[in-house]
Amino acid sequence: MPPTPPTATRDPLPFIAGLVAAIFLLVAPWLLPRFVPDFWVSIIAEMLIWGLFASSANLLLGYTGLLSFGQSLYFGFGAYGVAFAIHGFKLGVLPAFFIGVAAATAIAAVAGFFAVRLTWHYFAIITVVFSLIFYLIAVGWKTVTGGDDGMSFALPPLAQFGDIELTLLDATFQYYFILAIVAACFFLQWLLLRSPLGMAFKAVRENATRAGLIGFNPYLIRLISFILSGLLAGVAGALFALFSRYASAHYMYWTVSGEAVVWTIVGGTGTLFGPIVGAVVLTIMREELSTVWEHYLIVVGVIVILMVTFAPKGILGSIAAWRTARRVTPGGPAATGGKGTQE
Amino acid sequence: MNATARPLMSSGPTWIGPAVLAVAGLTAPLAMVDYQLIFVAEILIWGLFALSFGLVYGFGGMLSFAQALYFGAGCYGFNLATFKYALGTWGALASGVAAAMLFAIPTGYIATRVRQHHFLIVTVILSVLTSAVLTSGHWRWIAGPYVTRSLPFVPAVPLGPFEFSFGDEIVAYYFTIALVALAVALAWRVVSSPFGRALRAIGDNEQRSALIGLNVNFLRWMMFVFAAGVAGLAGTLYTLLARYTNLEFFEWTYSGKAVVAAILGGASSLAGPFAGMAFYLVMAEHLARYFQQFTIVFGVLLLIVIRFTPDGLYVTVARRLRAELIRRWRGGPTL
Repeated sequence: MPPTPPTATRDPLPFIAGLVAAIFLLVAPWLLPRFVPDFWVSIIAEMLIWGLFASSANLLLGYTGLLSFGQSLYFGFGAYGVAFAIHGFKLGVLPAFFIGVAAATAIAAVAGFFAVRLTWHYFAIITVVFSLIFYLIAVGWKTVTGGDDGMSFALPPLAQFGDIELTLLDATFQYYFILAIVAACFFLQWLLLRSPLGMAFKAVRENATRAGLIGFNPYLIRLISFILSGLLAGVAGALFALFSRYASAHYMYWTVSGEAVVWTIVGGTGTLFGPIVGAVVLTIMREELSTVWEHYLIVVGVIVILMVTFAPKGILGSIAAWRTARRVTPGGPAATGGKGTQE
Repeated sequence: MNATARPLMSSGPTWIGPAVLAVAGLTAPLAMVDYQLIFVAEILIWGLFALSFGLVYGFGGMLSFAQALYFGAGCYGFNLATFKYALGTWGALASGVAAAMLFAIPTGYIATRVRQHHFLIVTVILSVLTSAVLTSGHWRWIAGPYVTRSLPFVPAVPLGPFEFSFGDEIVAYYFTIALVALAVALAWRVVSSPFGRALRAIGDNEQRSALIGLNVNFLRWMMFVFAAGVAGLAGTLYTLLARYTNLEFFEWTYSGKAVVAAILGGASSLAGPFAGMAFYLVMAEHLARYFQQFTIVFGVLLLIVIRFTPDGLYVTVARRLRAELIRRWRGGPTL
């Protein structure tokens, strides 16, 4: 019998889990208020934004092998782009959104130009330094950016069809707006990671020299990955500014980037939905723990250290590895479901 | 020995640099006024702190953001010995170093189990956690009742039948440079020992080092603990000199200063971190007058250094200079 690679048998569980999650997210605005207070809809929207932000760190760390502590910079640029466009230039929501994303992508291109020439130690430092420089500028230049207090703005309506006005001030519409954009970003990431470019990311992560020898330009590939990740972080930042109607230098601080890395690691580095799982788990834990114990940070820290030491693949990565180990047993008819052949 | 891999240990007299530095250090009080001496001593102390990062990063290949923990632990050990057990200066000094190393044993064990990105993340988390615990306002039995604590007396150093008081700046200066020199000599001994070479091998290729029988995790851990002792000594010396400690010293921003200074100067040499820290502090002193966010300048400078001379300014300059001197001395391009 020819050996079947484990990927050939389609595993239904991820598909089912994804379907359940998708249905839940689609009906959440009706379902949730029946069980929990209304504001949970907004909390889920916020988690989606943070999940998208974490996935920007994951694109670099999980797929291209670069640890960035500077994602907050692009998040901040996305948020400030929106704030300036709406508050300063009186633009509508959608143009402002695109300006925010474009600003984040542009600054990612500049930072990436410097950063991706170096790999891990120096790359990590250079991304921190870059984001600190702009953070300090944003904090110091209070008249323009509002510094740590931030700048808030009034949200114009998104679109108007006759009498019907679509506005993000409506919590349900806002939720679907955020869900649609986040879902689109994840779908694009999924397409990207299946594409030859996504394969090239992984090749560069595994061995940049060999990737270079088979004809890739590792520098260019890292740069593309860096810019795309800046774009994702910028989308998250622009969404967050629209969501909270304000932008603040505080969100450009490196701890915000650190959170993205932590969520990614806890959720599963190098898995598409790991970052969102990590963001959801840790945000809920933070919300719940902080009501009981103000030092929830300690619990989170200990969890991350334990994860890094004992389950470096994160939640989703560990589940996947465990299921693969169960299904594929070397040297036996394991595919037929023989659990007994395992040691 | 492979000369290209270790340019700084290549042929040529190695004693000239240390000798010049020793003479300069000993005669500095002739040319300087008191506050300048104290500033030099301060540079040496923070340089020693940067060296502790250099040992972990430049020689051990571990990018640690936790060094401030051990600087803080040094201050803490000093206070413990002084206020609780009323020990003298020497006892407090030993207690500070011991506190740092003892604290590094468990924390270093946790951190050195993991690699690369994960090491960096774990050290950041360890230092955030420790700061959170110490500054939280709870658990005061750990940190003591105060955020800052000043020494209510002028420390004195008993040496045989004599007793030298820190009230005299010259005493403070000589005591500081003597101990810093001792620590640097010890660090030099350690990095050029078989242990130091083993770590270099691990830095070059961990898998091969493990295959030739080196206990990789254990060696990394030992280097981490040793470097923590160096940071602890820096913390203790700082407490003696400034007569003041602050829980802020445990925070990662202080580790960040060591990282910036050591990399600017060159983390894989013993003198680089000192050079980097001297540059940083002198520049900071001047720049701070003109604009508040002077750290931005260091940020940009660091970007340039990392991009163009990742070995650091000092190492690059020293290498050039040494090659040039040797060439002149031997009368021709002999390298």
